[in-house]
Order: sequence, then C-alpha cells, then structure tokens
Amino acid sequence: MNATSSDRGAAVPASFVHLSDEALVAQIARGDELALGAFYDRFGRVVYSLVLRVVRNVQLAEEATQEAFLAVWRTADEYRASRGSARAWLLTIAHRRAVDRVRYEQRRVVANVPLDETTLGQIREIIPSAEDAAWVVFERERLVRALAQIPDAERELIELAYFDGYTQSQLAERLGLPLGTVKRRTFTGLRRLRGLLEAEA
Amino acid sequence: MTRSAAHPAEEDLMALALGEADAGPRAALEAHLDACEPCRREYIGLIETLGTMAYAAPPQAPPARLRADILEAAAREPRAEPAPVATPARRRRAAWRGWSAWGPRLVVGAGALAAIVFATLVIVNGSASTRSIALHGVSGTVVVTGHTAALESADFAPLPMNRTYELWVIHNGAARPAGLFRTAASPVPVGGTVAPGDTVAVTREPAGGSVQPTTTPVASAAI
Repeated sequence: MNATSSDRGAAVPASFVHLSDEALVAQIARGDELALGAFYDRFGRVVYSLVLRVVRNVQLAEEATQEAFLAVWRTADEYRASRGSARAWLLTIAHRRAVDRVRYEQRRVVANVPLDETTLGQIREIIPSAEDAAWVVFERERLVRALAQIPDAERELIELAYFDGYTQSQLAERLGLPLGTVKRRTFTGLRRLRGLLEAEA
Repeated sequence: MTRSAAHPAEEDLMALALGEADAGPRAALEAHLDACEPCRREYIGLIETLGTMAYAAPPQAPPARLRADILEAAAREPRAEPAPVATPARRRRAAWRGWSAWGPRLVVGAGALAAIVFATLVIVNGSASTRSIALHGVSGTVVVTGHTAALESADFAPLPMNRTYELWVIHNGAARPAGLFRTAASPVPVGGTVAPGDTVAVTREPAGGSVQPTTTPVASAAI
C-alpha cells in the first residue's frame, strides 16, 4: 500500500494485511480511512469488474463503484458477520447499485438488447498481482467447473439476471416463458451452483 | 419475536438477493429475515453464491485515480464520531441499505474471523534453511523448512464440535487437502510438500474435513 499516512495524523498500522475482511470492516466502522483504502485494495477490482459488466459503461461503472464503497463507509457499523461474509455484503451492495442503474435503461429498451454470449469462456483470465493471486485463480477455476455443470437454461437465466440486471418478469417476457418457470429455473440453478461450490469434489 | 409461520417463497428471497426493486414488499422480507434463522441461512447462501459469481465478470482494472476519489469523497462525508469498540455503539437508525442491520450490535461477529487482531509480525529465524512466513488473516506463522511446512498460531478461534479447521496447499490453481486441526497453538504439520509459489490456506470445514474448500479462507500465506 502506497498511501501516505503522514498527513493523517493518527497512529495507524503500517498495513492491514493481517486483518480478515470482517475485521477490516470493523476498523472502517471506527472511521479509519486507511482501512477503507485497504478494503478497496482487496475488492476494488472485482467490484469494478462486476459493475462494469452490468452497466457496460465506464463512467457509470466508476460511479457505481464509488457509491458502493461510500455505502460501506457509511454503514460499516451496521454490518454483522453473522449475516454472511464482508465480501458478500460489499458485492450485494455494489450489485444493487449497478442493476438499479441499468434497469433504468432497460425499461426503455427491454425488447431489443441482444442476449449476451455466455461469460463462461471469458473467465479464465488470471489476475496476477497480490500474493493471494493463487487463491483468486483457484476461485475462478472452481467457478468455471461449477458453472460448466449447470444446465444451459439455468445458467443463462442466472447470468441474465445477475450480470444484465433483468428482473424475473422481464426474463419471462423476453424468453416467452411463464414467470413461474423462470423463477423456478433460476432458483434451481442457483441452488445447484451453491451445492457445487460448497461440495465440489 | 416469534418465528413467522408463513415463510416467504424461496424465489422471493432470490429476487431480494438479486436486487430486484419489485422483490415484493422488501421491508416485510427483511423483517422476516430478522426473525427467521432458516430463511436467513437460505438468503446468506444466495448472496454468497452470487458473490462468487461476481468473479465471473471479465476482469477489468479500475482507473488508478478511483481509489483516491473514493477516499476523498469519504473524507468529505459528514460522519458521527467513531464509537469506541468496547462500548455499545451509537444506535444509528438501522435501515437496510442494500444490506444493513440485523440484530444487536456485535463488534465483529462470531466465528473464526472474530479473533483476529493486529498481528505480531514475522518471527525472523536465523537458520538459513528455515523461513517463517506471517499468516494473513490470523496472526501466526507458517514455518517452512526445505519442502515441509508447519503452521503455528494461538489465534484460531475455538470451533463448535461439528466444525474443523482444514489446511490446504494451493498449487497451480488447485487446492490439495493438507490436514485438519482444531487448535494450532503447537505447530501443526502441513501435509505433503510445499514449493515456492504455493499458497498455504486455512478454511473452516464440517467435522471430518472436505475434499475441496467450501468456505473462503480465514488465513493464508504465500510460500
């Protein structure tokens, strides 16, 4: 971390690398800007990649990323580790910011946005950077293997809902399927994915 | 609060996790999650799964200035004085903001992650063939001697009986099980051999261990 801390005045640890994500959020809740910076260093890239994938616009992606981390800054004291990981908390916030934006657009153009090609083939790219790059690669490989085992119809629905921000109703309309079918398929796919990620063997 | 007899449909929890604006009456769903452990578990499972999905987005580097922009904007935010850690916090109105507050304040929740403190740093070992590498996530060290390694830390939180800590060696993107432990107060050997470039990681797993990690690591060290 290169942030100059000399002008901050407060005594701060030289590094937060020894803190878990959850402990880092607790530190952010105490008003520690450097902790916020460290949290950004851990997740800024995945947040930005996610929201850019959703909004498909660099300017909007930057705004959504900034909003997500500012929401973390404002509400860190409301985070509870018993409600899931800090990573899931952050990504839920960021994803919601992004889909809220894109749904604005979709209400206008819902009928003629081309369906996206599957993301499955795009996700093998390695991010070589931090010392935990091995873990990122591992997570990605695990995800690739899990996604590959999900029926296409379910995977497509998950991707359209998550990455393109379509509501279940919009998907039913677009795909000409009953709403109940769309909901059940998406849910079944997510449950399958969860099972594969948890119990992959 | 009594548990509601009428659980929301799983699909409604999914819609909430997917950020659907019309996810039914959101407030009612959130209130139910407050009160109902099984539904909360289901919801957490959904957001953790979707959080992993985020890694399927094509990796893109944010512009370098974004970090500074965010920190500057944060510094401008009007913000209450931070609460001392050990006292009951200021009780801000705890509306759900995409996530937000459930239940009484905990400084950091239960579980393995709670015990984490600022680490005591690397123990420098004089011996040329032995290196001590600081763990990330939990204070402690991995001591590497040649191709073998051992983990030592007094800071892994106690586990319920149906859970165990599991060691992994991640080599070329694949994780190999490397042993189970409940406490690492005395050195725990890392199974098999390690090589430069490997990562040693620790996850919480069901008692008996898992074949592949099922949770994100609580501690790791790059060899």
